[in-house]
Amino acid sequence: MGYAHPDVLISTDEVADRLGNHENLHIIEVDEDTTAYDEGHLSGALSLHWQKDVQNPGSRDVVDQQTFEKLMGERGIDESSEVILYGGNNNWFAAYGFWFLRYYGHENVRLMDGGRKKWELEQRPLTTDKPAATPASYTAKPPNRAIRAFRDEVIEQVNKTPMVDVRSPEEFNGALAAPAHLPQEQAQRNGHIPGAVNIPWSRAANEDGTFRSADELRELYVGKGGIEADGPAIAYCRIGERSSFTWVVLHELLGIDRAKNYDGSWTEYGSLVGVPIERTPTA
Amino acid sequence: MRLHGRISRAGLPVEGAYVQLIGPSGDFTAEVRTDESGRFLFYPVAGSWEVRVSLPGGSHTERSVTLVDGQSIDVQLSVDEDEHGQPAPAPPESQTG
Repeated sequence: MGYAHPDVLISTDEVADRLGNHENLHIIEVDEDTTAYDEGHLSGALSLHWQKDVQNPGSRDVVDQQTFEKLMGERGIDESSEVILYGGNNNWFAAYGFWFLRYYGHENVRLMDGGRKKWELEQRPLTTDKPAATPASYTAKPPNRAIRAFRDEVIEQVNKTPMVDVRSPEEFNGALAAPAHLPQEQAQRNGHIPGAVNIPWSRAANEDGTFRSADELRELYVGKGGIEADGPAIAYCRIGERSSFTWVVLHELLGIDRAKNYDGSWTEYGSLVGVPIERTPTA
Repeated sequence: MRLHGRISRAGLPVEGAYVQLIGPSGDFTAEVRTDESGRFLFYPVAGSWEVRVSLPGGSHTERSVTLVDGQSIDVQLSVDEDEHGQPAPAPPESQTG
């Protein structure tokens, strides 16, 4: 059995073939390292800044519907545009962008499988030329809260809804506060949500950054992970990007329609007063 | 605590190599891209780690390292490819207190 929605992925080969024809095709880079785009990007690609564009710094929420419409319109994207997202870190932040577009109802969005890493290691060309977009008008749908878990729901669903902690085992067991490429000083406690199962996001990826096969993913999450194909599930990580990657796997590739991304993730849950956490001994 | 190092090929620094840090369980913990000097940096805890490197063009190399509490470790990985694209053995790492 293949992916539930195979069209959400596009290979680096296919993207390379289509670079010369940008008609109503919009390639957007979303990176954790927000300087990466300026140093070189795919020909014709625009960027989306995960902090400045996607998040409202005042509320630590994603931007509102009106701001989303402005973001899309400025990039020449309308409701029917095909949007291809890619980025570094195995598409963590591009997956966050994917989830963000779906949150406001954009259907025709895809991820370049393997992301920027695969593109670079294949020694494909990058450019520093920044294309000028022709502004478009965009009318978004209301936020799709069915794909997003909020704090109170997570607290209420502890030990009821399957929760997937997609961070590394070292973050899950409390030895590390953040991925090991980041400094470890953090405000929140270390540990995980009680009852959560640790399935690091990376187990869903091949060495080259592409997604594993549908059968492998199904065995990982539904077989060993205990998630029911027609049941609820909540994925979380530290700040919501790695869990977006896993949300894409659950919701789009495996067709688990009730899967949600908890974008508040551990930086929110681990900082709450009066909620339980768990730690497991370091191996 | 830091695990840092440099990737070179035929004596020259490699920018744009992808360096993965694999934890004791065998799971990916973090990944960084080397800078123009071929350098990378992680902030792990004490324990046994594997540094796994993918270079532009398809070469790979890896090294097991043990990090002790209070120490930083410097890992120099050099890839000298033969005509078959096989990496030559890399020199040992050094530790600093």
